[in-house]
Amino acid sequence: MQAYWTLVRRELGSHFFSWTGYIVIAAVLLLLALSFIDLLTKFNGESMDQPLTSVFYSTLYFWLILLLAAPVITMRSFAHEKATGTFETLMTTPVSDLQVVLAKFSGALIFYVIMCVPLLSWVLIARPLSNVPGIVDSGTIAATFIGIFLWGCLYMALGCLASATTRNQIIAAIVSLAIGISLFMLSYLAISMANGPEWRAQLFAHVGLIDHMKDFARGIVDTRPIVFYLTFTFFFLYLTLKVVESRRWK
Amino acid sequence: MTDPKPSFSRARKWSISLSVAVSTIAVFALMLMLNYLASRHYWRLPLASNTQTEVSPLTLRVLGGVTNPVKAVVFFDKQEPLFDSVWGLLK
Repeated sequence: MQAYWTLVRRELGSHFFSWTGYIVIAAVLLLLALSFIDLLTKFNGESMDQPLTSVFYSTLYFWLILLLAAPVITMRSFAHEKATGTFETLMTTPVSDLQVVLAKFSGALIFYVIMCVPLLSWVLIARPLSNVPGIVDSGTIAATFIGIFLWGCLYMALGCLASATTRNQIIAAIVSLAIGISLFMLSYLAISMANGPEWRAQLFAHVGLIDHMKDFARGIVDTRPIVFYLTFTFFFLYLTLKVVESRRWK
Repeated sequence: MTDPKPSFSRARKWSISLSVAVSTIAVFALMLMLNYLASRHYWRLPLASNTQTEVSPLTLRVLGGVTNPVKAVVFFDKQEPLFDSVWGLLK
């Protein structure tokens, strides 16, 4: 366990010892500022009874943050180590492959959570500005953050897998982004399949990430997306472990 | 000078690859089963304090008394502000 936490600290530290971590946080802050301007414009324009999170969820910036953050955060995790030659050194230390994979994933996820903390700022700013009860509701905000966290788990695991398969960071980021966007686009397929056979509509509704996030943003925590996100996170981490283990016999 | 002998023979490599492929398929199947079970047995917990996300106790009591499967057909414009709330309640 001690080795695991040491690796997590090392992984987390690597984001702050390089420029990428600061660039990612700065980019997220910029997108948040733009989304906040968008939110204020919408709230000033017409009367709304939707929660703030529902409006934020429908802005382009929200999805840009979620889709672009994961590839940039995780592209370094394995690919950079392989490119610089420190991966072999790491793997000869007395730590298991599982510990390395979990530490890389945890480090990326903790950085993602730190990156999302400024999201709370617009809640604190918007609360005094609104006099409609329910617009800024703590339960809805908690549900939205659960959704954002689960999304982070899935996309960080996916990013770790992409990074483990190559030694080039750019390729890792592109692969992660491509698979991530494909997963995201399944939601649009779910909309077009809604009038097809029932089993197909149910299947695509189950994997529709936009619909899942819509529920979370409205303050509803459903066990179906939770199981979906956690099982796929586990599956991608399992694949990452197998890719890391493959260096022994390939 | 001859190349060094590989650590694993070709047959051994194939055997390990097959083992990894089978275990991956098994994990994927397990994941599908879990998701299937989750889609049949689920809870929706409304954390929001407003009541727009919950069905009223009276409606729940009426639905509790229904013994046959019910198919709900809703004619609603997706652009309507109430669409998401209605869709959410039907889920």
